[in-house]
Amino acid sequence: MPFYLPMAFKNIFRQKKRSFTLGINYLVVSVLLLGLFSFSEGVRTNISENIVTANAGHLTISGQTVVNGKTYVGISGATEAVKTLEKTFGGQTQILTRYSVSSTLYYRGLSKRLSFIGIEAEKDTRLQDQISITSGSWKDYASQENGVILYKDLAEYFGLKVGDEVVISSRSRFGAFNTGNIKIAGIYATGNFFAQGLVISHFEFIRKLDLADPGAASQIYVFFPEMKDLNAKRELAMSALEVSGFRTSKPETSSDAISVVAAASPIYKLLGENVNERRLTIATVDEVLGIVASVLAGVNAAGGFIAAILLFIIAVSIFINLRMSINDRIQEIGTLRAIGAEAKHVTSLFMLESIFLGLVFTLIGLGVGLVVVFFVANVPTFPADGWAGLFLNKGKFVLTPTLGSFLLILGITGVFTALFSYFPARYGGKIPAVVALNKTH
Amino acid sequence: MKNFLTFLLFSSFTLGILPAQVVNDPKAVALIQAMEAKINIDGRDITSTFTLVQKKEGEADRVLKIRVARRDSQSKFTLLFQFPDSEKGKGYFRSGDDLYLYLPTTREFVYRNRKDDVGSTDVRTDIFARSDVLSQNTVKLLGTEKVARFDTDVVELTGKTLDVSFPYQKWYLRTSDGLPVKVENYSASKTLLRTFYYVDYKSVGGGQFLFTKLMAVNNLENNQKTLLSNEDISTDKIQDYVFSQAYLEEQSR
Repeated sequence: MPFYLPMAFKNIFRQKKRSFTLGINYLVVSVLLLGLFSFSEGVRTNISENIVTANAGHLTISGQTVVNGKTYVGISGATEAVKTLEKTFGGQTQILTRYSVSSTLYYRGLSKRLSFIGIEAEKDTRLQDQISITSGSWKDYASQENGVILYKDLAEYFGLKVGDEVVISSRSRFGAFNTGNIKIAGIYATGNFFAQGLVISHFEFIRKLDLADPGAASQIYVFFPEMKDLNAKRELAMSALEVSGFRTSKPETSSDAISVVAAASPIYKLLGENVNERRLTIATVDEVLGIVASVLAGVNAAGGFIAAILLFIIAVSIFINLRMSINDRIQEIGTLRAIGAEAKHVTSLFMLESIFLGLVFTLIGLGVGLVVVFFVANVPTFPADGWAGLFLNKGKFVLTPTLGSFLLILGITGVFTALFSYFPARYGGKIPAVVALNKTH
Repeated sequence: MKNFLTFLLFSSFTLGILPAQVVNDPKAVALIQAMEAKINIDGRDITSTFTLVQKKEGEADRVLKIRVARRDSQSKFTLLFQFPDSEKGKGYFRSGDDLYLYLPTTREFVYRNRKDDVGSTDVRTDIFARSDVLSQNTVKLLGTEKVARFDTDVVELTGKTLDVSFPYQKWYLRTSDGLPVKVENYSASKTLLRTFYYVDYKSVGGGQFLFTKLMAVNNLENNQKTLLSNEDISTDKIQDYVFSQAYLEEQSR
C-alpha cells in the first residue's frame, strides 16, 4: 500500500486541466468554510466580550420583590446581596450594581422612551472604556448628580447639546409616575453594539427617579479574575444568597437569561396575599450567549447549505473525473493488474489520487482563505450602527480562524472525497487485466 | 427569624409609602363623598359611546370610538373598540381590580394594570370605572379657586402608597353642585403631568351625572391633548353576559 502513495501523488496533475477545474471547487469550498467558521467564532467572541464590557457580568443577577402577593421588578436588599457575594468570593472578584429604567425624554415638542442606565461612576468604568466622548467629558458627568452622557444618535434626534437640561418622566417600579431633570454632560459614540442607544446616568439619580428604597438595584454584575467554572461559582453564590434570605433561581431558557441582563419587567402577577419574598435570578454569561448560538446556528445553516451545494458539484465532478481517468488509463490498469496488483490496490490508487487532489487544493484554499479573512478583518471599516454592530469591533469585522476549523475543513474534504471517489475507483479496480489490456480507444 | 425581620424591614420600604398626611381632612372627605355619590351610578347600568380624538403637534388627529357598558354596583365595565378598523374588536373587561385587554388578532386576553391608558391616549381606563378616591388616597381641602367661570373647592389627593399612577392630584370641585371641573395629576416629584377638564355633564336621573365632554391635556408634551365625548347614553338594564370575557371574544368575530 505505501508503494501507491507516491504514485498517487505524482498522478494528481497528469490531467492538468481536469485537476485544476476540480481543484478550484475544493478551493472555493475551503475559502467559504473557513470564512464561515471564522465568522462564527469571531461573532461569539465579539458578542461575549462586548456584552461583558457593556451590560452583563460573568454572573448577572436581577430580581423581583414580592410584597403581599404583588410582584415588583428590581432587587430589594441589593446591598446585602453584594456583601454576601463579597464574603463568598473574596477581594479578587469585582461586584458592581446598576439601576436601569425606561424613561421618556421630552424636549422641544419631541419625546422618546429611552433606556437609562445608572452606574456608580467612581468604580464602574466598564462603559467608560467602551465609549468615546465626542462632546463634553466623563469628568463633567461624574461631578454632576443629574449629569448624563447621551448616545450621539439620540442627541441628534432631539437636537441636544452639552449643557442642555431636559425633563424626563418615568413610571416607577410601583406604578406611580415620577419626573426628573437631567443635564447633558457628554455625548458619546461607540463601536460596541451593547453600549449603543443608552443614556448613561448616575445610579443614585436613577434609583431615586424610580422611587426605590436605598438598598435597591436593577442588576448585580459579578466579575471573576477568570471566566471559568461559572456554573460552580453560581451554585456557590446561590447557596450563600439563600442563607441571606433570598430565593434564588437559574434562567430556564436563553430568553430568560436575556431578561436577566435586560432586568426586564416581569408580567404583573397577583399571587397569594401572604407571599413575601426577594427573588434573584442568576445567569452565567454562557447562558446569556445562548441566544447568540441560535443566531449563529442560522448563519451556519445558510453557509452550510451553500457549501453543501458546492460539495455536491464536487461529488459529481469527482465521479466524472475518475470515470474519464479510468477510461484514459485503462491499459495502465491492465498492466498494474498483470504485474500482480489486486483490485483493492487499483481502487486505493484512484481514491488516493482524488484525496490528495482534494487535500492539496483545500490547503491552498485555506491559505487563500486566511488572506481573505485577514483582509476583511483588518482593511474595510463599516459603520457600527444598528444590528451590524453585533458583528463589528470598532467598525471591523471580527473573524477568528482557529486550528480546529482548519482541521475540521481538511477532515470534511478528506472524508467527503474518499466517500464519493470510492464507487468509480472500485469500478476501475474490478476490471480484469485481460479485459483492460485488450481494450483499445 | 433574622431573615424574616430583615424582610419586614425591607418590605416597609418596598411598599413605597408616601410621606403623606395620615389623617383625612373631614371637609375634603365630605366633598369627595358627595362627588362620588353623584358620579358613581350605583343601582343602574350605563351604556354609552365614547369618541376620543387625540391631537398631537405635527401629526394627524387620531380618532377612537369605544362602546362602554358599565355596572358600578359590581365595579365592572366592558369597553369595545368600534373605530378605527385597525382597532375594531379590541376591548377591555374590568372586574374589581382585574383588568383584561382582549386582542382579537391573537385571540388572547392580556392581564393589564388597572392604570392602563386607553389605546395610547392620555385617557386612562379607570376614568370609565367607579370612582373610589378614598381607598387609595388621603385628602385635604386646599381652599377655593376659580376655574373658568366656576367657583371650585380644591381638594388635594395624596396616594397612600406608590401603587397609584399619580401620587399627587388636585381635584377642582364646583361649589354649585360638587362635580369635578378640573383634575390635575402630578408626579411623585410634583411635576404637573396631565390635566383633565370636565367640560359638560348630563343628568341620568336620581341626582347622578355622567360627563359628556372631557379634555385631557398632556402637560409634558407640547400641544398634545385628547378630547373625549360621551354620547348615546342609556340606562337600560344590560345583560350579565356583557360583563364577561366571552362577550368580548364573541363581539370580535
